Amino acid sequence: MLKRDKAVCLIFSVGILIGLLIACNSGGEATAIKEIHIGLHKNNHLQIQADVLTAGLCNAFIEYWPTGEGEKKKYVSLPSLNKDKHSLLLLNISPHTSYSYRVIIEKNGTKTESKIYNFESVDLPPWLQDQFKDTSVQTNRLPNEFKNGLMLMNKRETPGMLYLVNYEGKLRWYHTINGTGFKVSHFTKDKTILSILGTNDEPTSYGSEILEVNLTGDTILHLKKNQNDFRYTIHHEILKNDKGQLVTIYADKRIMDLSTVGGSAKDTVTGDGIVILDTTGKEVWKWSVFDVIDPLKDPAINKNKKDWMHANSLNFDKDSSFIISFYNNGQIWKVNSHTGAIEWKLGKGGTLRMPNECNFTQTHAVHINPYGSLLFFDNGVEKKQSEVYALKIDEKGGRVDIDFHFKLPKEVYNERMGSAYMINDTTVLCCCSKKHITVLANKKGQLFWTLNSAIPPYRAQFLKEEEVAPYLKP
Amino acid sequence: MKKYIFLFILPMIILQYSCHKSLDPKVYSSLTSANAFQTRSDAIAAVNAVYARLKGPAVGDNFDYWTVRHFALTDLTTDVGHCNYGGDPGQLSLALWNSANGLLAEDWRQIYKLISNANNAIFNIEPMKSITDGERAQFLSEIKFLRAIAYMDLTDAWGPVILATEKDIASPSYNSQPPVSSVAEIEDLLISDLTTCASTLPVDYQSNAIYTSNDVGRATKGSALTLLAKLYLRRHDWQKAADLTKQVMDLNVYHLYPSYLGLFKEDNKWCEENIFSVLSDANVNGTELLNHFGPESHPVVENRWQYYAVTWDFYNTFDDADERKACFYPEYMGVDGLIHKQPPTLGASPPPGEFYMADVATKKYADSTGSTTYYDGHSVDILRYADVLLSRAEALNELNGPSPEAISLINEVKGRSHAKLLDIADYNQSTLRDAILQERGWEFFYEGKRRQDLIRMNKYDVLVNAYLNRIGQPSNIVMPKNQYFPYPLNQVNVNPNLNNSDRQ
Repeated sequence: MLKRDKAVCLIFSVGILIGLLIACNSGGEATAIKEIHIGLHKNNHLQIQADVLTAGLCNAFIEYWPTGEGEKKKYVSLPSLNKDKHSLLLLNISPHTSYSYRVIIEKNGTKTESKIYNFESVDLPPWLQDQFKDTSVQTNRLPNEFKNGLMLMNKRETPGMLYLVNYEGKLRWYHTINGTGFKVSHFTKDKTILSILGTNDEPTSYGSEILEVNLTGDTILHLKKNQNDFRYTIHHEILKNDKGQLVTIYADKRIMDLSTVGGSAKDTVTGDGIVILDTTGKEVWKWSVFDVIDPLKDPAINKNKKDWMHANSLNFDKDSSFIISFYNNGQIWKVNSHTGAIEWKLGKGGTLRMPNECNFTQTHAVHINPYGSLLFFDNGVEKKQSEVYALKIDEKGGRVDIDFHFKLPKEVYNERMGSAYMINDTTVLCCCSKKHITVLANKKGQLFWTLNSAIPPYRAQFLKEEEVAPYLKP
Repeated sequence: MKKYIFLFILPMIILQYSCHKSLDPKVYSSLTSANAFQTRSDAIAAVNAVYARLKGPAVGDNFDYWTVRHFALTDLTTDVGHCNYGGDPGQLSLALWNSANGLLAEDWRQIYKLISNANNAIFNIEPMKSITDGERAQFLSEIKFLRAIAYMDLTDAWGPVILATEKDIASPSYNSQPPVSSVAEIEDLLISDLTTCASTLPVDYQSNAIYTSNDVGRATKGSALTLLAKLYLRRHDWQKAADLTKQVMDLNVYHLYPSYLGLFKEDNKWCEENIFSVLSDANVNGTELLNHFGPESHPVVENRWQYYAVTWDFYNTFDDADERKACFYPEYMGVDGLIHKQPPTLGASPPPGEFYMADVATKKYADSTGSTTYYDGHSVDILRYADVLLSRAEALNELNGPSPEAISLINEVKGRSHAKLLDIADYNQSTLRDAILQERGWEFFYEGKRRQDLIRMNKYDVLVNAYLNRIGQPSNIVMPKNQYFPYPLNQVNVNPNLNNSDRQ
């Protein structure tokens, strides 16, 4: 009996000892969350910052969900690694909503969860409320890719705004800039937003600064005109190439003798070109329309000199050559990114043969779509009806064929700017800028979703779920 | 030994539990709406959002408040405006309305949205630490000027209304049923605010330290003084109105634009006559003025609705020499192949090939050389210099009867349009008052002035009923009942303090 009692005592004591060891090792030190400070991240009303203080170094992250919807709608913050002062960012916040959250810390492979706490997100400031409205949703017909993605739009006027909006017209992310506007913005493969900034005095898509921000609102790059070789007004597009360099369109002003055509001996002709800058603003490569055509061969050059060759979109071809479009003559050119040579011209007076049905005049957002076709939005000013074209280019044969082509309803006719991007193999997101309307159309031009916006979006770039992960989960 | 395993596990569980429980962190939250405005850009965005409310909602319906629908209250309800469509505008056009009229409800709603945004912005900008005192004074003055525009419009239309200010933002109550404030109480606030605005706001925005891009559409010293003058005019405080209009003239920055038609060209966004205007850019924030005002079936100004037009009765009062008469589309070959024109007599049937228009479209917001697109870039002049000149003439006449200066001011406006000038010998105080009222009609039709002008000069019932009788309608205007519109039914339903017993 005595022996048995001793054994019971021993087992119990060993249990206490091991229990203490486990509790203090895995919990006692590592689980000691001392403080949690919840507030706005950089005063962004859709981003919550949780500063968590732990007793020792550990990893930490937060799981959070709208209280009303439960853990099935759970989001997870990016982790903070091996710190005792953790700054955790909670994105995907809806305004004026109750959230539940727990802090999870991890040390030596052991996770410890805090209790569940709550916070209430704040409302959007007045200037961000009611900026978007979806007007004709037939949710059952919307492709899942579309519902799971976001649209990038930008406000050009000061103070500039970047918006990521979902199919319900809900603002899911935004970024504000002081003193300038976002003239053009482009979501990059690095999950950043690269933009041309300009003031209210600068025309629609023209600017003099380049800004790159990531989805946590950090500035990755900010160049201003006259920094290194960045000496031009830039416009209409800003891209990153495979080397992480900046590719944009610049306004090229040349002094020329136009006295024989009615101008002055020292007149200025403005054309456009492509420039590649490194991230410090150093020029890497440059090309100009003046390199390939002579303005004096334009009989109306004196009249056209202020905006002789007006480029309005730029992108990469499959082989990394450039595809550039011009508003003034409605042509699309392929420019060799090494030699600068024009490989083909598409449009009226171009080098590629086109079917008769191919009758476009002012193209925008010209790019190669995921299915290999050249996709673009045509204002259709002559017909007063905007259209979308997807063309198969046969370079060897010197011709193009129509992959698909549709007219948008006359009600959304958009005579300036605009864009068209594939959502999947059957639907196209079309931005009718001047109508303040973005629509989802099928390849027959039938609409089954529209979004009205307070701003006239320069374009609506569609971002798939995987492009914004892990930051955003639309 | 298996039966003793619980002795081993039990203390472990107890210890684990107790360790966790003792580790509850302290939780701090700074999530309040009090930190909404942190940067200068936040303040500017808030100010801009209040300006944007002059055009109604941010998304859709780009034809609200000062960019179309407000004219339903100010002009359709008079001898000047006409709408040939039925329903709410048709009722207003025949001086028949009740508290269920949707246009009354919509104007009320949009004006209070501006006031709400303004109050919110004032409340948040006042304590900001990241802006200078100069910036704060500038921003608050702009907002208070815009709020004053809104309260002037509200009190013009409804008289006593609910006075909401930034003080209501601190502890908002969404279920309160506040009483209305008298017009005098509201005017006290406006006088105080506008007096401050006039001393704070710059004369213009050239080389402005806060807004570096010459933002011409923003409120200025001149706009604050002019609105204050208009307020005193409404109160029949003639001396103050005369003094303030003189102050505006003495700023020496405003002049009449040389041509009346040119003043309203779509591309003439801002000129020496503009004091405060709602500006639009067809590419950025276009309006639907052209849709509503443009002529129907017109070969050049295509696909427009002629929704807001003027009465033939009013059109026919223009002298042929008066260039303002050219600001209309009285006759044209329509795209329907019919000649659109005025009927020779009321109710006449047109012969084959002709179409008798019920009213006449104006070019004021339908420039035939402007936008051909759905949204257009016409601006609306809320305050312009011709109003300052005619307001001063009115005040002087009310103070001392016809004077060379009063006649000269009126003739300056007439002369711009080559209209027949007045001769002082032909007028006494009463007949000059009538002449000024008529002149204001010719000059400011569809600029949101007519109803208030008629009421201020005690001619609302006389002139509108005379017009209604001429078109075969009964005398629908009864004063003082119709001085103010009934409070919108949807508002009365939520706040019984809005009492319509004496106004419908």
